[in-house]
Amino acid sequence: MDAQVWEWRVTAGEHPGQDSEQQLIERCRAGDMEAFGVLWQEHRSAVFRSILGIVGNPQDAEDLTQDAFLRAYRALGSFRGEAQLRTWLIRIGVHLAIDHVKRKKAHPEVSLDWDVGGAHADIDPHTAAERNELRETVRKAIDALPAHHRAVIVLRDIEGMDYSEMAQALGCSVGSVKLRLFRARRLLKQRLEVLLEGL
Amino acid sequence: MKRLLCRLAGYYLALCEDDIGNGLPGWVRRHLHVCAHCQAELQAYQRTSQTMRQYASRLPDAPPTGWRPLQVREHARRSAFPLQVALAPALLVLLALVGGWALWHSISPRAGDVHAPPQMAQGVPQPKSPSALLDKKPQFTSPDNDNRTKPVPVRRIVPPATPKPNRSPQYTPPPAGRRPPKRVLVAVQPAPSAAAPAGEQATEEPSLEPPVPVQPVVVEAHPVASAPIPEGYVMESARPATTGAIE
Repeated sequence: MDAQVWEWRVTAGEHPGQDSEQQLIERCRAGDMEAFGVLWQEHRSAVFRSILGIVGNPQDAEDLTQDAFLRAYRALGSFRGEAQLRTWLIRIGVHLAIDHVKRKKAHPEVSLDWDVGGAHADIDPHTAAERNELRETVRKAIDALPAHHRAVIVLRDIEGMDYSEMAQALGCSVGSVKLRLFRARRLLKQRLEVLLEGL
Repeated sequence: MKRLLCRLAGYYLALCEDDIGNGLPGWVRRHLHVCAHCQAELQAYQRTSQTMRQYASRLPDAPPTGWRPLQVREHARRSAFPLQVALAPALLVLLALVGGWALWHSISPRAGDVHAPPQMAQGVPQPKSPSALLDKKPQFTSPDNDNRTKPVPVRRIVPPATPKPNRSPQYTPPPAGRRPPKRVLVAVQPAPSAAAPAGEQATEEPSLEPPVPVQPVVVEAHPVASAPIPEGYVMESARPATTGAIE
């Protein structure tokens, strides 16, 4: 994005919170690692959750989040600002997660799932067991989806993106996003119906 | 027709989520009022969306991992251009060069073993057309006038002789530079008495006595006879074995 368009957006108030973000990006391009640390604190949770929704393993998701920010840091020079930085970071993370899922499909490993009760110690064991059961069920249903279908489900239902943001994050058109989402939800509904009947 | 409408409506039902009023076209809403199958389909999609929202709300937050610039710099430096990747093509090229050099020296002949390639005859006539060949009369020339260029003899490349292993313990290799003599079995018999006159020999009748038994003598025919024939004996061709003279 050139400077004129950026100034227009800032003055028009289209993205009021991006002024400081743009400054942070410029500082990162100049080699300021502290500025990148601020961006990391702002967006790491969204990137982590997107990746976790696709890969399903917190350890892998944490590693992939680090990799995504590392790639983002190295590619900041090519960031043109056409999309929001959060969308751009999530796009990098989603592509890494999809590659990870494909690679893991070829070389499956034992999954180390997280424990809700362990993460939230204040929850009583009965509630924690219910949540773990639901998580296991949904996780199985998501794992049965292809990687690209997982991505659209995660971006829409977990990150709450709209179709245009999803199109930017996935690098495709809005129509393709809708079609992928339709197919993913149809598959997910069929899987969940089968799995929830057994509970 | 109804099944086709249900399939078309299913696309919108999957995408509308909870916003039925604004998220569905009018014909889908009208179809939804009369189709129980599509109503059940919509409820299933809504249950799925609700389950996914619950799942999303219970996803753990990112671990409180700080941003470590030094670690990132080190990782970036390591992953940017690893040494193995940089050296692999150079090593491959070096191996190919060394292998090619070794192969070339293993198959190329020595300088003294090969003559220069035969020179092409100077002034080789150009191939003529078939009609010109038919019109030309044959000319016979004597062999003496044949001044065609003689082909340059080409020396063959002979591999170095390797001594064969001994076949038996008793075998002794021949001395270098001399072939072993061939042993030939010849038959000799005593010559007639030199004192007898020539006239008597001509008129002598063949005797009825059996001839003197022939004594076989082994001589070496090549290169020279190692055992001289004793005097008083003459060479004769060997008799057939049916005579029983030769054992």
